[in-house]
Amino acid sequence: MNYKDKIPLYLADNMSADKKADFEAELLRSSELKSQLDEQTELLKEVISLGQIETGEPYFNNLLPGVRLRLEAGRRHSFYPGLALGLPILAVIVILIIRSFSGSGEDKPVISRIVSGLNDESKTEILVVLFDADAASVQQTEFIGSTDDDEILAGRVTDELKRAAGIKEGYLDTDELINNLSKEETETICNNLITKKIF
Amino acid sequence: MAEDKDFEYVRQFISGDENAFNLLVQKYRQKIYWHSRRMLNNHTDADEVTQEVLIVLYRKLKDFSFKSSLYTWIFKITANRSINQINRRKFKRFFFFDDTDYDTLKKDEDISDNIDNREKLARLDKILRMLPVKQREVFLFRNFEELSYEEISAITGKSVGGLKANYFHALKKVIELMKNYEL
Repeated sequence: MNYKDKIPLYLADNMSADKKADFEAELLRSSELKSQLDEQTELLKEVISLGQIETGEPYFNNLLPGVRLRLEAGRRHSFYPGLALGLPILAVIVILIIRSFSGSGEDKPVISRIVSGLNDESKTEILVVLFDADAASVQQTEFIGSTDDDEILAGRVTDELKRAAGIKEGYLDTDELINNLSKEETETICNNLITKKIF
Repeated sequence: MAEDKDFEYVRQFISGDENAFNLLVQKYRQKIYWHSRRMLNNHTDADEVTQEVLIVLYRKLKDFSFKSSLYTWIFKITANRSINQINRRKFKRFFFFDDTDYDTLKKDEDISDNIDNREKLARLDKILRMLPVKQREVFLFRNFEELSYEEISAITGKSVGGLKANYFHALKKVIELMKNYEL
């Protein structure tokens, strides 16, 4: 395993004591690894600094009076409990009827329909066949969550999945990735799956 | 000690001291807002969630069990409400109720008028938006609240192993984005 790939694990404080000691020993030996670690640490600090702005005093000062007004208004208006349940149900029924006539939703991606019917075991099987990955590792990392090298493998599998589908940036989580595929992406990945005789 | 003070305020509020609630709001309002803001990537939704959380706090404080810290309890509500708001937004989009362009909206209404601050927030929003919700949540708790995995687990109810896996992926993605793109 490449030490460079382990930098995020180290930064995430997600290594066993042995592996951490090994990584730190390598840090002392390799100035290149040290500079890569420093670079990634700086990038992370930069992201955090983006969120550390001191502002918004007028907003925060007006927050409590606004909340008090809402609480007061809630006390004044007696609520008819039947409406709370009935109206949303009625609204959902009406909208579903409208949608069924409008024809939208007909193009639900094929892969979503296929994958939504699969259990985790089958999803694992797909990943194993597609990428010759170790079944136990894939199952552990993709669907249960683990640490160290397994995460790197999971990341690699997900990257491979993205590459195979020619998918745009932004999806890392496999479930999320599958649920967000466009029609074109779906077709690409379906073709890949069919070519590899998974379905 | 901070926990003792929180418990004291809660007891005072339960016994009828409204000012104790004001003090709790003053203490936690920024934390609530900023967590929901970073989760939701816009001021309008974050404002809605912040107000909701404070209202829930007011109404449910009398049921507080004193078994966990108030901080954990408040963040449980904030985290749940933020995710509910994300789902609500998805639901509205699905049913065509919502065609709001949040990029435009952000320019009109935000927590800061300062251009530098707005630019920083916009950059951060852009990065965080690239992370799936589970990864975004753990990334925020680790980096902005500086919580341990165990503390995050107490708030989110997720396993430490799962949180570690999500945080690793989030970190890797954020570093990759910062390295490779002009954000």
